[in-house]
Amino acid sequence: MKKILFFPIVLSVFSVSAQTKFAQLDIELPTPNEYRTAAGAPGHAYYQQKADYKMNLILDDEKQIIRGEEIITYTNNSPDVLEYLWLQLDQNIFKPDSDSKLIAVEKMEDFQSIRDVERKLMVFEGGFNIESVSTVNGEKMRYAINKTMMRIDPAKPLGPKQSISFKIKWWYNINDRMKVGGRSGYEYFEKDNNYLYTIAQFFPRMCVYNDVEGWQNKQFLGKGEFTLPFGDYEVSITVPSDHIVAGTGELQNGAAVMTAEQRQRMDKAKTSDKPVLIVTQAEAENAEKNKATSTKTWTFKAKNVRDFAFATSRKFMWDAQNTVVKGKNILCMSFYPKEGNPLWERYSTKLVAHTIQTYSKYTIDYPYPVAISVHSNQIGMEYPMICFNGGRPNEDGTYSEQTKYGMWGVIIHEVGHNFFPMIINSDERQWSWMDEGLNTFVQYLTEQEWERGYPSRRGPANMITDYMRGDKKFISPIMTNSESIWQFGNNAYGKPATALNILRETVMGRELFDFAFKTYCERWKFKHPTPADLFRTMEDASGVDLDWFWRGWFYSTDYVDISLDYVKHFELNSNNPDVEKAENKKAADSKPQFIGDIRNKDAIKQTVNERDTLIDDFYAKRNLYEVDRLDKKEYEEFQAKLTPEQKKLLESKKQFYELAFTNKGGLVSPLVIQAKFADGTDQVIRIPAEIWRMDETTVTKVFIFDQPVVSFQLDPFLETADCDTDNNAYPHVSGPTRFQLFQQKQNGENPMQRQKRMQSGN
Amino acid sequence: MKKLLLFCSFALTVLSVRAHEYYFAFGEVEYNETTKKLEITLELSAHDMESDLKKTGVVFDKHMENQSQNAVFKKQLEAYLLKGFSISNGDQPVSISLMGFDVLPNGQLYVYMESLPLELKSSLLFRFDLLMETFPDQQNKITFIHHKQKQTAVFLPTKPTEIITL
Repeated sequence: MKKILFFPIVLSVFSVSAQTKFAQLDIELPTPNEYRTAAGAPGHAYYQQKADYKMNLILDDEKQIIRGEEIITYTNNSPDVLEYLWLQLDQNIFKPDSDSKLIAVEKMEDFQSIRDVERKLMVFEGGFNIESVSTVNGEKMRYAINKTMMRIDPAKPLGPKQSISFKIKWWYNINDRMKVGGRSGYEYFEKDNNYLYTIAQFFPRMCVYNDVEGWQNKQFLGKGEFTLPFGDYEVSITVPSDHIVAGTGELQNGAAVMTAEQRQRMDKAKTSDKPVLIVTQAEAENAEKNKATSTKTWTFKAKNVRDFAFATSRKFMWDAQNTVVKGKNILCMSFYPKEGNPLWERYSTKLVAHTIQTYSKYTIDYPYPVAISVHSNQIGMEYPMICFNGGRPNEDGTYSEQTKYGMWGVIIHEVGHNFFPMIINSDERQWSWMDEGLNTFVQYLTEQEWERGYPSRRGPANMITDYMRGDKKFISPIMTNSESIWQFGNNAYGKPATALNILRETVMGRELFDFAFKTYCERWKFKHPTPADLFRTMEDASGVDLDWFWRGWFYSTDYVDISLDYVKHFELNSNNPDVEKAENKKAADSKPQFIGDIRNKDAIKQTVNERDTLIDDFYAKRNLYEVDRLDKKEYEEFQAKLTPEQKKLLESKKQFYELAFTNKGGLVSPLVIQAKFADGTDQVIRIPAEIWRMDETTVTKVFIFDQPVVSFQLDPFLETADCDTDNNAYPHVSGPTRFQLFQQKQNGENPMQRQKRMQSGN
Repeated sequence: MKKLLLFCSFALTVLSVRAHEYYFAFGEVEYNETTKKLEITLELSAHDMESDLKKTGVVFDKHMENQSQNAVFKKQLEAYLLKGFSISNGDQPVSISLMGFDVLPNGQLYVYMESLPLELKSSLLFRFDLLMETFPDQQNKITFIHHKQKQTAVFLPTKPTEIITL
């Protein structure tokens, strides 16, 4: 411990700093304009295009082919004249010569099993077959196909505020999702010779044209998903008459496609807060055995959606329940084959309702009338009002804990995508993180409200550290185009979700964060936000300068590793010579002695000044620790000058600690420090990241307490994503490795065996 | 020209599992100064691991967490792991054996392994390309701990080995 010295003049130390980590985002962000403001809101001239669709679809269940005819009415709300229109032909990713196949990097190790070779040699004749593109009057229109994109040239350019309607006729072979892969397709059930179709990206869809990209017509290569304009849909789907169909929007002709009993059950479900079966397992199993040869047409309408998807199968069970968001009824539904039970009947629809409720709380009120979860094995994929989700029990009906949590997580995640990007409609082709990251963040909040202590896989800060630490060469910044990301899952899902959690829990606090995040969602619902709109809104609505945070977490590959380097302890100097000189003597006596001095005590029998009394002068003879008259007088004078408050402070025995920190990972971070005291109490101090603004590498800070500190812990609640917690404690404490934890708990029995042992009384 | 050896496996390969964007394995390796052993924990996606194990012909019922007492499975798992994770101490291959594994409810698999006692040489060569054959996007990483100092290495399909100099 050291005593504090008082200087009459306080010196301010100014250092020159490049301020790179705290520099405002300037060149990184687009210049605000009349379409998008500097506050992050839509500008006064913001516009977006509209694409309405009327479609007739026919499913060929014998050949697994889908045929469609669509009329698109496209409205140009931009101030620009459009000479051509771009549409997306996503099915063309399944063409045998697609770019996504050609650019896949391969090596011989990829061909280790006969199955690998079989798959490589398998040719699936996928992709759109465009039969015609014409006006609604049947006049042919000129078009050109560029891989997964199609350009249509109207007879005359489409001016501002003008609409054009045209018709496209097409068909394609549906992919076997379990063999060929893909976000949609069919699953074949060999045991009962039936198919379950989850159909999406199935029709030529308009690209987005806006103030940011012009036409967003980047090719679909597989990772960067879809960028779509809003519009109204009316879709009729003809399927075998024993199929049950789930689709985006509201069913328009229930009377024609449902039995009277099913409609009765549906009426009951519409007012029930628990799932009600519309089609039971016994009914679905019966349909599996007796395949119908006739057809039925199911018609759906959806307003203000960016896409349409559907699922159809005779294997479907179907249940539904109501949930209310701000007085509005929302019909939550699930469709699943018997292979999904017992998990699906028990949980799916309840999870849908819970997700709608929780996301509505943190983002915007769910605006659509229905929300649907469909079971499709080994996948999770999202569309407006409907999503396809994995989570399949074993054939004997048992399931593991990871299957259960996997199913719960994927349903929450995919239903959550209704909000990001289906409504808060970001550009997925360009920025995967804008929907996946934000959605994973709210997924985490939703999971925690489903079950206390839910084992979320992404969200908590300490779960991203393995990914972020170490060699930065093979990590991409979050602000990377979807197709060029190293480690897609950690980069686009995990890291942004963690970053938002850190903003909420540590940097901004829940109240400021929740208001700002909700403001972003409200501003950009049913619009097309960009990263800058999110960054700017979060600052604008909270009054917190977050440029350093976006720069570090979104534009760099730095990581958080702050070390607590040293702790120095001080007490106030009382100036009382009786106290201070005694203390000084005690300190001098307890100082370690140099080995030479110790040995010299015996080795040197007598020194010169010990022999010759004339050698020692005043300096040699004085007693440094003796309190003399002048000491006492000076102390009395010192005391006389102090106010009562100053005297009290001097007697308070305040404890001063200087702590030094080093930023080893490069990412500046708030400092969260816990001081523990001898009496068992503790104090947590939260210091904003701006402490690093003048020196991004090392900082010191002094803390004053009423009692001595036993230990200091940096990031005690694991909230900053500190990648090395072993340098966070004083005195030094090293956490056990995972291997050591394993050794500690290893006793050779699993939890069920332990339970049995307990029950047997052993 | 080399002959291509094929394994006769007809287990289904998981394809394009869209919600399952993990493809990241992490290893923590510490040299225990007392026992002179390398203590290793690998953290992987249990789902990916199960899928890849089945692809290589390892047959087991249901899920990995049901196999903790299955000695045959453990032997197969050890053999599988050592194809994708190995260490050389200088130029000497390190003998590693599987101690056990845990599957967490969130689907994370922890595998615990240990080496025979050894004196560390000036460098360790790590090979860590587990799961990379099946999942081309797989990226692995290890943290090596020695005298409380940590070093990290990244492994990619194009960079399956790394040397850590002590």
